[in-house]
Amino acid sequence: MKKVTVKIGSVILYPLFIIFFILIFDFGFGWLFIPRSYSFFRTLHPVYHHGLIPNQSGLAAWGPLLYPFSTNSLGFRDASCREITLKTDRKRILILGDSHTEAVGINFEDSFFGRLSITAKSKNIDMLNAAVVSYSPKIYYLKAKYLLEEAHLSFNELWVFLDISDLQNELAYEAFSPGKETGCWKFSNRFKKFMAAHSFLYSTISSWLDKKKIGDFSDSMKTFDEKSKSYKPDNILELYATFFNDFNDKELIRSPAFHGVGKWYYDSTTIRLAERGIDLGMQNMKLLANLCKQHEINLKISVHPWQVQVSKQDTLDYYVKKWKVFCANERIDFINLFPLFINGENPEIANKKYYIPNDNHWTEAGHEKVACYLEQYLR
Amino acid sequence: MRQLILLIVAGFILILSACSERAKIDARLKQALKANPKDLEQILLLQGTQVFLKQGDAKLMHDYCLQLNNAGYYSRALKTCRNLVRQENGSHQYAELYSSILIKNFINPTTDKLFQKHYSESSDSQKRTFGFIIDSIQVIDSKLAITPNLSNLHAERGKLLFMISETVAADWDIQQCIRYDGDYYNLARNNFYEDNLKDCWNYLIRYQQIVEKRKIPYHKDYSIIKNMVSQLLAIDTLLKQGSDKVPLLLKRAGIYLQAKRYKQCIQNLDAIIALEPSNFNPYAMRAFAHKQYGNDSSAIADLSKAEKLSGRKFTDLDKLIRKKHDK
Repeated sequence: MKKVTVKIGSVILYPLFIIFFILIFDFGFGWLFIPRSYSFFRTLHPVYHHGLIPNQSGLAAWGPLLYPFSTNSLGFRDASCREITLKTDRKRILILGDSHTEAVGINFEDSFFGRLSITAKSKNIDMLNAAVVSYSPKIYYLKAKYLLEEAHLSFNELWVFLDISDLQNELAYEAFSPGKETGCWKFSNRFKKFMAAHSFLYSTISSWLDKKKIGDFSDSMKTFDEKSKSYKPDNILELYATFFNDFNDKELIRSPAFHGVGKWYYDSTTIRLAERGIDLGMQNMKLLANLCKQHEINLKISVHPWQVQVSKQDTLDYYVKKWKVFCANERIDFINLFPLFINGENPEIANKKYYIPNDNHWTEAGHEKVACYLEQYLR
Repeated sequence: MRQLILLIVAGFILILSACSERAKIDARLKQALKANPKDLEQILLLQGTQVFLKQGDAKLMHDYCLQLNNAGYYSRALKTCRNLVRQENGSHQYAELYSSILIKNFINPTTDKLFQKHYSESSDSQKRTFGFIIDSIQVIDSKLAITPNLSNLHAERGKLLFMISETVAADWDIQQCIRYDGDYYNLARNNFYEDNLKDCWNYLIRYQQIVEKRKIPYHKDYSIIKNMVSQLLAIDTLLKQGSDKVPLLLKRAGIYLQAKRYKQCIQNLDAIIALEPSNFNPYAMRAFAHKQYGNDSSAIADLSKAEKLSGRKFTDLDKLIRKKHDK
């Protein structure tokens, strides 16, 4: 009887021992060999496509630049991990935008939002930054709706920052349909994140699968970069590629011209893409405007230029005109940031001063300029 | 068995502690520098990490500033350098680096508060010159913000930018200047084609004055047009004075031919033929002008006449006219 119990015990114990050792070695190897992730705080989201994980703090990378990154309890970029109350007695302004507003490559205190929030504090205004890389009108609408109706966050004003990347993003998210944020989804998402960060086996297999999945996108984007003599570091390229998961037009993805969104409306071959992108964007912004009206929220729309637009020296180009007319029709406050960067200064110098090299995102000086200008709207 | 397991676990913990984050970064940095010193992305990233890990290491911060400045990340370089200067309480060994980064950010070192506080005595004449240039550029910027098409301001700013080695930006301003001054050039060109030679000449003189004053390059066709106009004006004067008409008209026809103004060329040659019907030269020239103007039959007729009068074959002209005609 005793022998049988020992045998059963060893039958159970030995596999457990083996599993235990495999796990120890897998996690040990993971600790040693999994490269440090600079996008650990980013996550996909079933309702608004992607966002940030709440209460995270660490280093983020943008190309060769490293910068500290923290998120608050709502999963918004903030000065530190802090608790945000859903309702407040003070006036609250929520900001939505893409990578410019998230302030990639820039420390929080140097970003235009960081600077504005200090001024706002002195005026008894609370500011929150819900912007995330590669957001566009469809995501602005979905996220604002989620925050108002699911998260029950209250705010009085919504500022939306648009730029030409929205033309491409709107096409990329056209097929995305929002789901529900269930407990099961939350658990599996956390589990995947944990395994990707710690298990060597899981991380190797998942990164191999991811690379295969985004292969077409990365290849054609690299071809575009070679042709246009621009350069995007791998970490930026991989980040962007993941946002094209729902985009099924493989032919368009393989076309290098598709990746030059900055020049879409200057080129007769791609103007149709630009028109399609802006139409979709306007449909979604209309939904957002109606949502704001329902909740008595004052909406402001701002447009800002990329380097290519600064070089063209046109403060009222195709893109600006379209949104200006849209805002006039919808009775929305319109802020044009083009004249900040196109104001008599030599465009080569302006691009050098206010934009990260080979990139369309602002430097510390660019953010400072935007913050100084926007201060007038804090009232 | 238990001892063996304990031994393995202890060994593993030892390995893990040895490979701390810091050690990993140091090793990767050394590896990257050894493998490819130009792999800037890797180096900046790793040095950035080190700066964050080792706040206070002046040498690393100095290296990091240099790397950022060399790679064109001027704004970031300025921020890091300001921290370095503050941390080192204005040590003079960083004055040079700080002033060069300020200039790259288009900030006059002599007016920067931190620079003034620590290095006001060390501001040499070169820094003052650079500062003056930056201030002048900013004054021009503000003027151009109100009236963007003032070519003289573009020319001035272009020259200033050249002085601080911002050649690409300077080139943009020179192009703008030529674009706006090009109006004089284009006016001259249009008047030349409308045979208003005096107006054309006046516009050319104004264009020349602007280019000379601003020391910017001439339009590539400027000297050709100027040469033609001056010769045509001289011929007009000589004709009025009653000089021998035929060589002057022949010269004028030649100028129009060079300017590809075939109609005017043919008119001048017609006048010569009327004066000297036995001269074969105007026929040969008119044959070529007719050919270029598209009158193939007239070209062949003139060529035959020229050959008949001269008593020889114009082989090259014949080839050109007949070959093209046969085609």
